[in-house]
Amino acid sequence: MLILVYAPTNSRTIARDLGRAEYSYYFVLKEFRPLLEQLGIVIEITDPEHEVDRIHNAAIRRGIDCVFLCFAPPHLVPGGLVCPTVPVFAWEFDTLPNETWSDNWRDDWSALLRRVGQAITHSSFTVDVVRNALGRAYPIVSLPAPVWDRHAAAYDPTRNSVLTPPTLLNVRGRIIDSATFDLAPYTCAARRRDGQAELPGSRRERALTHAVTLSGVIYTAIFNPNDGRKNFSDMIAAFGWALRDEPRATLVLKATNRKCEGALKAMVEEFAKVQPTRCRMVIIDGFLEESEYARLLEISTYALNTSLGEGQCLPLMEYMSAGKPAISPAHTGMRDYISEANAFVVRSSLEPFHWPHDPREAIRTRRHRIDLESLLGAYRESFRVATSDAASYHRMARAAHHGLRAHCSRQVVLKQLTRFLDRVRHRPGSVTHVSSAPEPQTPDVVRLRSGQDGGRAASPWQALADAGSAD
Amino acid sequence: MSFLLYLGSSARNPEAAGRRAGAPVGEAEYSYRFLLDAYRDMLAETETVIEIDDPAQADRYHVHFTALGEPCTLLAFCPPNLAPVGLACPTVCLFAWEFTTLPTGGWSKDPREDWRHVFLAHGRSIAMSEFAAAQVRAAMGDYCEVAAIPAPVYDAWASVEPRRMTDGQARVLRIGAGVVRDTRLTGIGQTAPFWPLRDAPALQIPPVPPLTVPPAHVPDALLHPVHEIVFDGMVFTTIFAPKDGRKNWRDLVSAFIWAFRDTADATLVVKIIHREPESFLPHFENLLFKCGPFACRVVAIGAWLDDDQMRDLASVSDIIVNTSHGEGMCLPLAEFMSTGAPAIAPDHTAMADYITPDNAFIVRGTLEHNVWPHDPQAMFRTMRYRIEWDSIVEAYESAAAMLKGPPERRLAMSHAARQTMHDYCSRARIGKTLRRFLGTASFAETPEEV
Repeated sequence: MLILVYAPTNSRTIARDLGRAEYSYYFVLKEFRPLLEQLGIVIEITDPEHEVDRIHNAAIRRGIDCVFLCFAPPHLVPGGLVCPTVPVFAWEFDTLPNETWSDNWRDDWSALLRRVGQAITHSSFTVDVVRNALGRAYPIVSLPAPVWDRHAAAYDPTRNSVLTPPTLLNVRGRIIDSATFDLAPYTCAARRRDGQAELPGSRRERALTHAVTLSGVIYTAIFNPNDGRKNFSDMIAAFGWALRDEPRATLVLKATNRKCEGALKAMVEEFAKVQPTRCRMVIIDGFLEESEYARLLEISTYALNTSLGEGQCLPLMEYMSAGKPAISPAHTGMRDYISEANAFVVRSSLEPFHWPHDPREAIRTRRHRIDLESLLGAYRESFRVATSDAASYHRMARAAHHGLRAHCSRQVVLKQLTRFLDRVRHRPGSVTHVSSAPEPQTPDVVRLRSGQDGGRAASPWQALADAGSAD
Repeated sequence: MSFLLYLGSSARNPEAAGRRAGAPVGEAEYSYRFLLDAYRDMLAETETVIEIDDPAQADRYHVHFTALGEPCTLLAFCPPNLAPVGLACPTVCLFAWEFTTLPTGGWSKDPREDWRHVFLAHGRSIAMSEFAAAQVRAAMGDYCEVAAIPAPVYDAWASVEPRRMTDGQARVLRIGAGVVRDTRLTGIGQTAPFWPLRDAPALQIPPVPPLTVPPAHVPDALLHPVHEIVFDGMVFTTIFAPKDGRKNWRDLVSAFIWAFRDTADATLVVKIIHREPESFLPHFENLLFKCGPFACRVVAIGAWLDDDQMRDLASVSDIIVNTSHGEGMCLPLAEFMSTGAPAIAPDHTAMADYITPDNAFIVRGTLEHNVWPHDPQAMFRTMRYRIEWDSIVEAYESAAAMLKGPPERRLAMSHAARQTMHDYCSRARIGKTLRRFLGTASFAETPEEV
């Protein structure tokens, strides 16, 4: 089987695109690639509209199956290809976009998904949202990015001490460490009086390598500071408020975007608002070598998330695979793997919002609003557990490690991926209308829904091959 | 006994008001004016009451009345940092406060910015809510006597004749000069939002001269109404000053539309308190626009309503709505509930004193860090309530079910709202509590109903 793959950002453009809206699709593709390579020959596409059908038609003539996995949001997925097309997309809102406002008909995701006839996403939450819109029979499966295996080895159940001894971390770039500079210039009063303060450290320093010593109870979050969903203001202010008197508490924020000066200033200003505190915030605005990235994972006590919605949240999944309990909500993408057994669960409620790609900002959906009291409680309780209840900590670590295997190990994901692709390759690549009515009408959809192959009836694909190719 | 009434204000004390110009200090100043007027009416029945506009006059009056053998007390209607201290005349500060911690200042040389200084100097204080009184007790112990005494709102509003959804009477509100924006007339909400925006039909708001005339001198023009609003179906009313960030109007409005997107007989009346309402309306209508299309109706009133017109509004309102982060007392809730309108409201801060499941549909909220509104440093020193938006939607839906449901429940809730307000803030009750607190032996015990 030929598996054509595409993401708007690829290995050539990732350095430039890091932090832009579609960048995370690149990382998801990277995680799926080894699995896809076990199922067929993987070809990376750079121009889907022109390359995909050319390759597909050539493959068909030679009797070779060909499918196209497009790692992109549906409004960027080609909808008129002959090759079976599978959007692989993340979605964290509770309604599926179903309106248009420009000349791109694919802004209406329900229309695009109906047209291509199947999709892959990364959480049961998204599967429910899609099925609510397109009917229970719509062929969509949740395949989390298979990150468990790469990080499972870092889980060390024999390690006794929960607190991290002072450990050096090397960063190529800037380290903004609240322990090393005065936060007074970053308060609202100072800003009003003297204007907004620049961050400490000069531009030239960002090309250099710096070291920071981290210790104690380390809460780590890895995210794009420009991504509003990550809700860093609650994350930072609640940390300072809850652990104000704890010098052993350290918040480590690794920025995944190199161009977010404004957001970094906002982060420092947020921490300034809760001063004075004895706890510490360290922002890593730079590049971590693989060994340093692994060291940060190893020394972290907890994985942290306070977001308003997630498609899946790769950093959280990675850290939990390595046996780090989480402080996190259990909504949207995280409901599949966050539980009281492996996390300090943060409550949330709903608030109105718009689909991110809708420039009208029409109120059509909902995202989450974090219950701050619950977050404060999670910080306090997690700190207590880390400092005085090692048995509970280790229990949660074990639960995180094992729970994430069931959720996103290669073995688990590969099995479902194989089954799903098997069904896709046996469908005709041309338009398949999936009615949103409860009773499907096309025989292909009957086979997919029941999950039984009924004695391997001849697929339309096979019939085409038997009839001989057109040219 | 004689009482001196003083309205402390930031206008009189610019250096004490903090640098955030326009930021309300606790409850908005217009509420303190109302409170002062209500106390004057109540006390003047049996005591000597004089309003002063300069605290320096207080000691002169104190000398005068003391010589006559008459105790004299200064009542300061303002947040403690604006209250006079160091007078010979005994002073009591009446204040509203909706945050979880008392300001301790530190940003200016004025010792009153630490409210404990004022409470210590006065020795007695009246808070508008149990929520605020508890904070004073916790901070001051025996050094300051504090009572929770709300404004005596009930009597003036209990006489309003309801013209509610099921009463079968004409429900018309007549309004004088000012701006009224009714989605049934403007068409906002009939379609999904336009894109690109240049294709949207122009949303013109006719210019209205700003109201600079003080309320007491409203011209006769109001006798000749400019707008006539006819209500049908369920009328949900809310009253707020948009500049007041605590009111959380976006949640209130978006939840209404979310709940009643397909319900044509639901109306939200938004009475805006603002000197230049037309400056706020574009922000407001922008939100409506983004929520479209919707079948329900939103009527924004940016006009001054005198007492009679406010009572008219209360009489046609089925439900009074509040979704704020915190309240010092919330006069609109107390006023409208006194007319028998149940509420949609949180039960935190001051509202804990009167909002119950019997008289309201309760909106949930939990604490979040926040800033004292007059703190020029804008540091996180206190907390307020972060509202759960979906609980507002649920409250609207439950209220609609109640309004359209069996009359027994409707009557029970209406009665409960009225009764609660009677028990909470009738003039008789407040007067009695006040006299007991101020230790006025000269007050005759009136044989009023308990």
